[in-house]
This record gives sequence, C-alpha cells and structure tokens, in this order.
Amino acid sequence: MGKSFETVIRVASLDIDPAGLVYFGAYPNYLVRAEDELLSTLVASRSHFEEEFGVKLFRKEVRITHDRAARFGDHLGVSLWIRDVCEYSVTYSFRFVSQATGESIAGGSVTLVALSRPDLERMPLPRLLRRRLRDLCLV
Amino acid sequence: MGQIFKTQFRPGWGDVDEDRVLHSAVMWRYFKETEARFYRSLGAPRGDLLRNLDIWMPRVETACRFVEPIRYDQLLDMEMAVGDMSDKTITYIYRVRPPDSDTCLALGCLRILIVSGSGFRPIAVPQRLRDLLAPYVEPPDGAEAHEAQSWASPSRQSSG
Repeated sequence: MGKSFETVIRVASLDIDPAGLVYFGAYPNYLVRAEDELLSTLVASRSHFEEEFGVKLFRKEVRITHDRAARFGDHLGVSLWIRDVCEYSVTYSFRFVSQATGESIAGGSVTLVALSRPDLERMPLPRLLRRRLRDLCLV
Repeated sequence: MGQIFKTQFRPGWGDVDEDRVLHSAVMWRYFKETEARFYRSLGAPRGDLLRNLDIWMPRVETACRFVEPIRYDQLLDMEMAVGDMSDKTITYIYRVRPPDSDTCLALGCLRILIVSGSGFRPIAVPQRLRDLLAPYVEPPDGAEAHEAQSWASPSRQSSG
C-alpha cells in the first residue's frame, strides 16, 4: 500500500442532524475538503491547477460505508490512499477515524475523471498530476 | 414490477461550482430530500414515522455514480425505488435523468439500518414501514434500472 495523505476535520454544528449525529451528507463535503488539501500538496491549489491545465477533476463515483456516528466537536482524522492512477482517472480510498477513540467512523472510495474545460469532454489527466499521484501510490 | 417515486430538482446557483456543474455532495441532499418527499407522498412524513415507530434510520452505505456532469438550472427527474429490504435494512436506489429522456445522468443508493429510538440498537424493519414500502420494493424494468439495482450494494462491489 502507498503512502497516505492525512488531515483532520472538526465536526461543525451545521453538520449535525436532529439525532445529534453527523448528517450522512456531510461526509462527501469532508471528502472534497480533504481532496483539495491533498491536491494543494501535489500541484498548488486545485483551482489554480485546473485553470492552468484546462482540466476539471470530476467526481465520477463516490462510495461511503458508515461504521459509527460522529458528533458535534469531534475531530475526525481523514486518511486518503491513492489506489489506482490511470490515463483518464484516479481512484483513492479513504477512512475517517475518531481521534478521541481511534474507532473507524466511515470509509470508502472515490473515482475522479479528468474533463476538459469549459466543454467538459473526457481528457487525459495532466502528466504532472499523474506522475505525482503515482509517486504517492508507490511510496 | 414495483412502483417508482418521481420528483424533480433544478440545481440552483449555490449547488454548482465555477464551471456551473453540480457539486457532487449536493446529490446527497437531493437523495435525502427525495426520501422526505417520498414519505410525504405516502401520507407518512418521515419525522412522524420516526417518532411514531420510535426508530432512527441511520445510513450505513451511500453511493453515487455520476454518468455526466449535471448543470446549473438543468431540470432533473429523480426516480426512487426500494432496491432491497432485508430484516433490518432498506436500500433505496435512485436514478437521475433529464425529463422525457432515457439518458441517465446519475445513479445512487442509500442503505439504511433500522435502529431503536431509545438504544440505537438494530431492530427489524417495523411492519408498518414494510407495508408502506412494499409497492416500491421491486425496481422497475429497464436496463439502467437493472444496473442501478445490481450496483446498489456498495459493500458487495467494494469487496471484490
């Protein structure tokens, strides 16, 4: 397995549902935040990168398995692992872990595909990104 | 063939990114809102159902496959059916397409565990809920609906 990218997300009150737990729809947002941070370590900011290379990283598929509930104020450790880098797409796995207990909160995978801007046609991932993602894969 | 519930959405300014493409996370909100409209259409608003049956319905698996980018202000038909109902879980499947078109824009699924309102422990799907959902349990015909059904279990897919 390659090297993982790690970050931390603190659960905000607006992510809480009437049961007092993190609303399931908050996790896709957390993933975008973590993904943006990962990209910023690889290729500067996501928007700068997308503009410079005329590419949009389009979320093609997202799968999330929820193991336990998280609550307001919890600190969630997020780990991303690059699993597969192809010419047109990249797939990563992720896991959210409670920093207080070490228990798994959720996990799953995301596949991103490269689309050209502004016409949104399929295009190869920019070579620079592909190389850096593959480096993460192999470490 | 089971029934499907249909509703519509139109992505607003706050739902799209700088390319005027739907933020993927917004689809989870649409799924949840579709579920709420679905139960309302059955005469059993979800909040009342949770209170009356003394249950919660936490999501244990959620997934979405975006076939094509969805654009700002694009009218969307959202279809929902019950893909599977086991002893303690219910799986909703979703298909998104433009009105009057067979083009699939997105497929989704939510698997829900039924837990007790007090102890948050898994319990059997209450009979009242089973009766409400029964007409929607089998997915409709059609290749994409079949695909949604076969794709609707992330756990099966990811274990391969």
